[in-house]
Amino acid sequence: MTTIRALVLDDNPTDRLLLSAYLKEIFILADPAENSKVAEDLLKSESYNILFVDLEMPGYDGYSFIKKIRSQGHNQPIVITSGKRTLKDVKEGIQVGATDYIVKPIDRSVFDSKVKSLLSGQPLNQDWYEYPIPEQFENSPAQLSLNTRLLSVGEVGLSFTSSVALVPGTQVTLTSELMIQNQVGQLMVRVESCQQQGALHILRGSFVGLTETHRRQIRLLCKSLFPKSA
Amino acid sequence: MKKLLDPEILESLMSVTSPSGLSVWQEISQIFISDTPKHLEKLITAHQSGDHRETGRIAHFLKSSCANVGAISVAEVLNELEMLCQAPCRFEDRDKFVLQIAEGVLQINKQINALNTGPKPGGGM
Repeated sequence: MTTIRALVLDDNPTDRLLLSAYLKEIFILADPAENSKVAEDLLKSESYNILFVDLEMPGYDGYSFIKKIRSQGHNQPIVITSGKRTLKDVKEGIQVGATDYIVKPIDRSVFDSKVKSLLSGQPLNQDWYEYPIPEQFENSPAQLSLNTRLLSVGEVGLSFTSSVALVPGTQVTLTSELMIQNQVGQLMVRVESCQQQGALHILRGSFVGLTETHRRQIRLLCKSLFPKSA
Repeated sequence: MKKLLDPEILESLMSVTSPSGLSVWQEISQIFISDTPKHLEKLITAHQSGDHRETGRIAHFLKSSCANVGAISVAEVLNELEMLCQAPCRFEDRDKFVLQIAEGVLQINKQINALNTGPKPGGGM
């Protein structure tokens, strides 16, 4: 039987111990590392199926560690296990390359099912119970946020990536650092086309309800990006 | 004395075996007893010297240690201190949390010692 191996990077010895014990219970052998340097050395000499990374560590933190090893081509699942619990922390963790994020203290059943799902490539066990939405909220809107990267921008629309396919006609709200820097806040975009390219989908969308001010800002942005053709 | 260690978490820790073969509770409580006073001392020093970043960093570390032995209420106070220390803050504002934490850690140590020398919850071990 092949041994499944995990690397547990955490500066807190009680966290390293707890995670290693939980992993042992689901037949995963864990190597603990108390700092990013030790973890990097282990990654050079050993091979791991999954990595667990804490964020807040003295010196070289978890974000930098994940960024660095992703750039070196390590593509196994990386689960952030952290006591940092704001949405900003979670977003940043996923942005630097983590596959999932589990907030400490760790809920054992969530941990087990996530790890099993990540290692098998199968969807998460969906046997949880769901309760019907109260009547007064049935038709109230909810928003879906996807991590995306902008690929190109024009005066009428833009292209961006998505990890999931979106049906043409779907309207999405898009926020990006580039647009914020150019005094354009959230943009409403209507998906015009969606093409799969490897693990990603390339979407082309047109702006919906763009204000004159924002249109002017986008025009200026386009001019600055393509000064000769403008 | 108010019970700070969550009995459900304790029972779960006692039922899991660590990679060394001992129960996770035995190892984790030993680490807590030997390591936490040093970190508490560092927390107090950072707080008294006005270093809010270091205070926040140590609070974050201790938050995990406390939560891992089942002391969730003390972990919550540490979380509040950690949040407060994300920006420069007044000595008096930090001080009330640090005092609560010092008292909390002292009580956790006492309760761990009492638990490890007396009858265990759920009748195990």
